[in-house]
Amino acid sequence: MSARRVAKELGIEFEDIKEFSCRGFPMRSIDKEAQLLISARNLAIAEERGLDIITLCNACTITLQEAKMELDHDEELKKRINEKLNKIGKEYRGTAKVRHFARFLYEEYTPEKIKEKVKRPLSGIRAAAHYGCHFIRPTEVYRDFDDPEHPQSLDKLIEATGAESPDYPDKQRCCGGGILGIKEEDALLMTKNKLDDVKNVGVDCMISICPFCSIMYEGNQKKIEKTYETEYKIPVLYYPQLLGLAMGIPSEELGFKLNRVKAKNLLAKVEKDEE
Amino acid sequence: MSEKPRIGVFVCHCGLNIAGVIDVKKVAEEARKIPGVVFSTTYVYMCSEPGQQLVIESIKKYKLNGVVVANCSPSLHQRTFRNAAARAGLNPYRVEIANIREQVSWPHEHEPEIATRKAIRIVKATVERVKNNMAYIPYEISINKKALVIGGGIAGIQASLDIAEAGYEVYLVEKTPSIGGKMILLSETFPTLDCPQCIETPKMTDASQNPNIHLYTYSEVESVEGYVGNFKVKIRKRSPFVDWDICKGCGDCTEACPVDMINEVDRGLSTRKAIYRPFDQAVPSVFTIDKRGTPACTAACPIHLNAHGYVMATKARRYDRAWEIVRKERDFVFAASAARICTHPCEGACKRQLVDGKAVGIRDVKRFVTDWEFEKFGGPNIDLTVEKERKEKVAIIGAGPAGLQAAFDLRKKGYKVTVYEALPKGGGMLLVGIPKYRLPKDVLQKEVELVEKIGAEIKYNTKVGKDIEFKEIVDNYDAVFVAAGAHKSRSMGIPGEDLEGIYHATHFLKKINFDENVELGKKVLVVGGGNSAMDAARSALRLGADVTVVYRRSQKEMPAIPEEVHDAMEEGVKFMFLANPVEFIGNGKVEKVKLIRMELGEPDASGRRRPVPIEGSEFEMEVDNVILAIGEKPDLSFLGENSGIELTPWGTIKVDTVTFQTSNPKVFAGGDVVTGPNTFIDAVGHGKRAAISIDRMFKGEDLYKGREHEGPFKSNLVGDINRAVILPRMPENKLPVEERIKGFKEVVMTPKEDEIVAESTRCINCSGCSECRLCEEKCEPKAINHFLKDEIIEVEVGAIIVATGFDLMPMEKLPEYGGGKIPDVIDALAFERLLAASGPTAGVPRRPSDGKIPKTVVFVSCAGSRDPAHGVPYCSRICCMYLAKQAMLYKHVVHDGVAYNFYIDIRSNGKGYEEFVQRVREERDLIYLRGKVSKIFQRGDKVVVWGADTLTGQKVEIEADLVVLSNAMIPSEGTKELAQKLRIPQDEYGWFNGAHLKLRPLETVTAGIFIAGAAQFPKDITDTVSQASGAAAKVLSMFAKPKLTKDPLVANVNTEVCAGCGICKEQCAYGAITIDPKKKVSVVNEALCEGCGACAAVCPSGAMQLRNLNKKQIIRMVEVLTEDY
Repeated sequence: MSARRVAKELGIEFEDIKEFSCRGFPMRSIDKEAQLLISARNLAIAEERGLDIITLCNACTITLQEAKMELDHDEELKKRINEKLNKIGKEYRGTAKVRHFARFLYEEYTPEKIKEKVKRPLSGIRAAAHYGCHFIRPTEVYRDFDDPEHPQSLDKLIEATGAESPDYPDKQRCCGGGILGIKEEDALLMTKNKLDDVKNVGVDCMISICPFCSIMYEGNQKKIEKTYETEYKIPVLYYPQLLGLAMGIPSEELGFKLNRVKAKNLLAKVEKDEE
Repeated sequence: MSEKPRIGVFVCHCGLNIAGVIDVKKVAEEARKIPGVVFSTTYVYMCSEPGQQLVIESIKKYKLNGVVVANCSPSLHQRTFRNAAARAGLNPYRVEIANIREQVSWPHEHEPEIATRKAIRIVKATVERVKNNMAYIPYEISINKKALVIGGGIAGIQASLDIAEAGYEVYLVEKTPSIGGKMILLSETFPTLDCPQCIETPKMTDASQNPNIHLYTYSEVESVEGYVGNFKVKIRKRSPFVDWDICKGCGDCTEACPVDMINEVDRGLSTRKAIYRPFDQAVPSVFTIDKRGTPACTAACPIHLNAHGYVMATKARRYDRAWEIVRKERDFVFAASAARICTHPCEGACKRQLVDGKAVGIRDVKRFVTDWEFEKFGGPNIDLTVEKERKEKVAIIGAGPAGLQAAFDLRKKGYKVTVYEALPKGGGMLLVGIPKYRLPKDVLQKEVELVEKIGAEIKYNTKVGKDIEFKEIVDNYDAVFVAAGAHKSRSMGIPGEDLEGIYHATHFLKKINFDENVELGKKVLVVGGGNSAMDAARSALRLGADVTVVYRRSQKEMPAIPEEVHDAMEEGVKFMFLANPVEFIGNGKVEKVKLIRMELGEPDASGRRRPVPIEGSEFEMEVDNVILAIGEKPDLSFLGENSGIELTPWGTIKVDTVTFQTSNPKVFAGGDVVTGPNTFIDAVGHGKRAAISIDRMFKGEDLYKGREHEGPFKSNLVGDINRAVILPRMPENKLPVEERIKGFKEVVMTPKEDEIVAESTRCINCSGCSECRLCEEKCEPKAINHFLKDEIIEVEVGAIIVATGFDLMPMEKLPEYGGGKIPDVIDALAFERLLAASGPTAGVPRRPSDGKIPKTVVFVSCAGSRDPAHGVPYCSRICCMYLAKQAMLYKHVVHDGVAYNFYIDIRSNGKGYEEFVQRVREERDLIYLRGKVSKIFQRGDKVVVWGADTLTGQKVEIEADLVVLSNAMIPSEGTKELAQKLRIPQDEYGWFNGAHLKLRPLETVTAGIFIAGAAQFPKDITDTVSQASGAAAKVLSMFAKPKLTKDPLVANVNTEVCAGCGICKEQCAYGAITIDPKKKVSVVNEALCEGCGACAAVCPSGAMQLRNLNKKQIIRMVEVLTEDY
């Protein structure tokens, strides 16, 4: 919702593709080729229309991008997959680019241009960046992107809004979501550690670019507070929400109602600054 | 080969390397069937003694006139078999290798049948080649028996000593001022714990004392031409600005030097002076001045006043010297005026702003210095000596900054100068336009008088065009400089502008400056955002008015100096931004102003956002007076009609931008008549530059030569912004506001001495030496020469050893370890310095942030090494050992300290190495943790290290006081450029490649150039010294021969066919090809040619051929290779 609203304001056109399916991540560990087939189908559909794919989730990005990498580097595999795709009249060629919306904003749109679009600089707001694993890892897939040990892209995007992106030790840690289904206790402990860390440096909000990470920090925040008898009340914003605020888009249009941890204080601060 | 071919084929098994895949017997059988082959056989190791014997005997027995050996790469054993053939009496160039190992058996390991077939084809093709091979005799080349050694580290020193002691001359070239390299920086060396000060300094002294060694430090190899035995080398001996033949090394100069620079020897943990000796034991023991060019401040100044110089002299409290720089070095007439009203482009360019946003208060320093001058001498004190009286007469129109500066400079040269000025006093816009509270009139008048004192005549009250015609002046003088300024007010072009009570700013200010009566009501509106708007507003305020400034853009876009705006606000001037008058209303006298609100649109040509009126936003304001400060333009009516002086479309005088000459060659112009209203200091610059042009014209010199950097320019030099002294900019010493607004007393007072000295320490010394020249005074033998130039020395040598060593990966490349950000995360060389008795802490390690002795130290192995993500997949080889040594030395000094070492593997493979590591472990309790560090960050005053102990499977967190990283070793800076000059190859990481990794590690592929030490790959001192002696032995074995022989298999031109197109010349990487200008054909220098064949491949006519691999041979080989089989 916020991504669409912001994109509209930045002059970026999204085209929704109804035929798109899930990109197949849940199948990955069961049948790798089935997952590749599903991913390849989506890629092929985008290719047909001459479009690049913009994703809004880290896991979707990595699945599609990894599929693309594997298909582009393994002719045999590509042939096998295409044989199956041909049955539904599709073909994977490898012409469509896959990028996360945040990466697109960073590389193609650039923070400099974002700064020009900022009407309400969020000075005084401290927003902790959470990259999430699959925005920058595995390195084979993201070789030409950000430094996996010391990523800067999301920090730069946050700073472009005028907000401050403080450094904190746990910045590169995983949200824990990957083991949620296996051992919930450990997963939530990982989430808690990072929330503790973020709380220690003192922030107004956390910035996520992955819905699954958001579920961990936001959806499970109450649960963690209860389990460990602590309190965070840290809103977790999807990056376009923050950007939208800086661009002067009313919060009602940026989906703040859907945030599980309410960003009331943050919004009050932003709006007060405006006066 | 003219006789009938009798070729032998010898197939090698290479143990199982070849025979394990290829059916060698079959290859030999098939070879025997090739026409011209009279014998074929196989042997298990053809390169061995019996194998070679087999070849020799077969040549004799079967009267072979050609040999093909099917074995490994020709780079390994071609020479072996050619030598064997020669022993059997066969010309060696009739032997060729068929490579069936690297090209067949290895890559086709799993497909023996294909491999065998491919081997047969390669053998067949090679046989065809040999059929057409000619017999050649190697060339003989003379040898110049002198050597060049590049790099003065332990490798270069050792190699030089070995060669010199054998009786040959050596040129040892080192980039830094001293030899000694990285080794001399170390505390102690593993595993023997010898200190380099004891074991290396004697070698350094030997190198400087040996009569066969010519030492060139602070020098670099500029170019290398020629070939083995006969290299011509140009060495650039950089100017140390100290005559080393005279320098006694006493060090008095450093005591006088006020410039603190980062000490690279101590890895930035201490400072040194701009004039320095790298360390006390340096060889040669002399001083060098670190000059890096023109700093941004001086470059930005239109008259290039040495801002850095007078700031540093002030820092040293040598105001006499600062005064000389400010006033005398550039004959600056208006120094004291500039100290008050200059728009200080120097501060605008000041790189201190990169540290804390605030430039060094350069103008404040100048103010202090000129006030000191006035105090001491009672006024401006400038050198009034006239060089030599000359006959030429110069007229100058206008006694403003441009005119008077030109008058002074020209008079100083000895010309007769007359200045025509319309007003009764001099100073131009400084006089009429600048209020007294900014520039007291007595200060200005005293500076104007300097021009009269040196002997220029100023004719006041003489208006050109009225009292004297311009034409008359041009006719009566040898040169004219027009500097009449821009004094005509612009109009807004809106209704009511002529109403009474509306003044133009210059007119208004002039009246006040001439103490004339100005009628001013209560409410005054000033229109404009420039400096004259501020001057008008603050003057009106002082006359008791309620003043509002209206400006059409926002405060950010105001052209006025920010301090002026700040002062105006402080004094009570009101501001109205984003509004502009559209009409003045009144009955005879102005009563109201109608204004309109503006908003900012897209940026215009000036880069500022264009103001756009908001429709329907008009409003009115009651006023008694309006002052328009919207700019001035030159009034050029005095030139008269048909003056012959060309103007620009903007109504200014057109001049040449270098010489300031107008369309009339004897008339020059500068200042605001050329630029329109502009800054005072630009006008002074124009005056100086026009004076240079007029002087050159009289002397008949070129008006343009060497003047590229006369005007302001940009300099990208930046001091060390990360290690700058933290100090806020000093506040200006100003009158209290109540005092100020009472009258026209000067607002800014003399800065306080201690404050101005402290302010000058904020300078980050972007250019190194400030040229304050305080060192010169102290140098008793007069060795310092600030004008010493670089020298180019040409030498001829027969061999070159490259020993340029290594650097450490920069800390900034390790951001996840806090590299470059956390002060207490340092590299291992820095820790060596902290442990060294000669280091910044005299051997007791203290951490950089607060000087405390660290109680917990974490050593991190493989920081960047063995890490493809950092571009360094290789092991740096020495870190495991030196970290163990550093831990040992640390614990030796800090008994209660705790030391950890995160490692991946401990690599201690050298004589006594493993024993050393065990000793450290047992005796010194060094705690080894096997695992990589993931992150390092600051927590309070501790440095927290996150890592893993993979032996226990635990996550580890250590709160350390200090972290030492063993940064990856990388080739030293400048290696790439040197490789290009020498035409020797580097590997993908930049290390120099030997001709063969295993068998020829000391030689490069370019004959006569050898490598030694860590320039080849990371290695410890033992290996470095061994390799250096090895390289020296290689050179000596070359020098032991009377002549060198060279392979004759080079390119050859058929001059009948060659058209001299030159394509081959462009291709040649060795510079071996020239074009004969007369015959228009290519000529190959056979001594330089390496026989690579690039020229033959590109030759469009086939005139260029490679010997024994000519076009005919290649085509025949391709035919055979592509035949059906």
